[in-house]
Amino acid sequence: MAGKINVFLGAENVISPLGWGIQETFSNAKNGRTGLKELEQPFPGITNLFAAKFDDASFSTDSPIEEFAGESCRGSLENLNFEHQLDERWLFVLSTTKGDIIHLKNGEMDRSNPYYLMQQLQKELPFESQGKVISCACISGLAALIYAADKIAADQVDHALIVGADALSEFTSLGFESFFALDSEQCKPFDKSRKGLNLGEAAASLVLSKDQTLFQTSPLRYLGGATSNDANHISGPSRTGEGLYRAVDKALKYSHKTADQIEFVSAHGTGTLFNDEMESKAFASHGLQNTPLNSLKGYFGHTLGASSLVEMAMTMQSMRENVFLKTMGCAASGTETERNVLTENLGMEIKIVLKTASGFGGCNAAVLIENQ
Amino acid sequence: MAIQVLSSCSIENGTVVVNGTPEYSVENEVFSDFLKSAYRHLDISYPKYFKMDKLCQLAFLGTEYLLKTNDIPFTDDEVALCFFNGRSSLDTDSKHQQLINDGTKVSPAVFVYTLPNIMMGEIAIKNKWYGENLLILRPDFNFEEWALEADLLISSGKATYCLGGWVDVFQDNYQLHLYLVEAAEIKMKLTSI
Repeated sequence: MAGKINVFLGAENVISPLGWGIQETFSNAKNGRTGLKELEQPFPGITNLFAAKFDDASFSTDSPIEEFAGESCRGSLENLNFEHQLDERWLFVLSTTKGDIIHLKNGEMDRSNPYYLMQQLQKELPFESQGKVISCACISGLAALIYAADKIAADQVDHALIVGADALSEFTSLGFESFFALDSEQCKPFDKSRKGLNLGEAAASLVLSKDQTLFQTSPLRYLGGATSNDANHISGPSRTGEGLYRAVDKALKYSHKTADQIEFVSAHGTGTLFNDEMESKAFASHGLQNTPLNSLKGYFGHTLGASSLVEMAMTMQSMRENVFLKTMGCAASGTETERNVLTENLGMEIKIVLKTASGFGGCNAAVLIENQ
Repeated sequence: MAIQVLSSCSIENGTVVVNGTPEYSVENEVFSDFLKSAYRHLDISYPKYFKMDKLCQLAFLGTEYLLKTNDIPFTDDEVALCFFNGRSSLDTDSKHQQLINDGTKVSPAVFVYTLPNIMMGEIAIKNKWYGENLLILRPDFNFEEWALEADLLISSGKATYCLGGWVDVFQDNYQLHLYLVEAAEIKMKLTSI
């Protein structure tokens, strides 16, 4: 086997109701703003929804998701130096749960298939690429990141552009409402009075490469990542956090790191009673109860297939600016299990971060990245 | 290719084929009836099966038929699930959307199946498998491309075995090609040098 190929990541971008591009989004979050608000009659069947939604006026076609996901990709690519790299082997991955599902209302099956959205986005790229769609519920973003990193490390591709995107839709809003999973006010991840999640829409993208010179700004390093299944329940998180514990355990193993080397945790933290408790247990089992941790759902809502890439991009920005964001909505940390939830922005230099996600189908993902 | 197929199962046109041998076959049965009769033929008791949507039922059946011929004592982390799927959960998505279009109350029991990766959750629960999960949407199945993904999961040390392949359902159309693979034996690699 050839020498180990290092995988670098950078050119992160976020297009969200909180900001158009990573700089604006991060600056707004740092200043304590949120993209969440109360929406009146966002869809015919819903009178009130506390969610993060773009203004309709932001878009000019009947496919907003194609526009905001495309915008995210363009922003990421603008941060690259292209020379010979345009002619090398590129992978393009879309991570999404529902793609352009709004077209299902009119029975447009092909357009409602996420593969169609991937093809539309792929056409706009300045290089030839293998196009893939990864759909693993709310871990889709990290699953795509891990997949791309493994492909580069195995020398199957040279570079990868990954984009996570999901739109706020009547389809998912009514579904989550039927689960009684939604908070009618601002969500409160890890807070003792948390009542549920808020939904949101966004796209986030980043580039992975074996080649550091591709990036205009110094990239971070991908250390390792893993997915797991709870093998417990399709819609409820495991009570013990066993699946997430294992995902983190494997991610540490593949990264050749130990839990005490993790300096910060970017959690999933949806704001539901059971999810946040489950995560707290899994982190405590790894001895991470004192490690600073945040959830960014209070800025974006839960953006499903985009969420873990939104949070990864924001955390990468934190690592660059040495400012870690407070858990918007969390006033008094309160799960049965102890954790160190950031309730104020914290200035610190961090080298190694753990990012996790969990989702329907009992799936979990964990990734470690390092500031070089 | 550095992997070898231990078992396989195909289900299409009312026929279940395991390791190349027809195991169960019926003619002129609509898909929903076939899902019931093929389950009865398995002779297992798993009440959760009747809560699943058709995509999950098909994936579950394929896995059960495939594993029937297998006596490997899997430990709980060593099986990766890697599925290719064509039309996502659009069959169940359409049911959920129809309730919305009709102005009827939507059902959480339907909504939970509006994600294609739920089928991996069902298989993981049945078998108590905590391993890797990967679901890739693509228009058609290609064994070589699937084998490349399975090989990567195994050669990168993330799994000892990979179970998966192709499962696709939309209305009365269905197709399944599943494989259980492991790393090819060292012997084979040596002889190929």
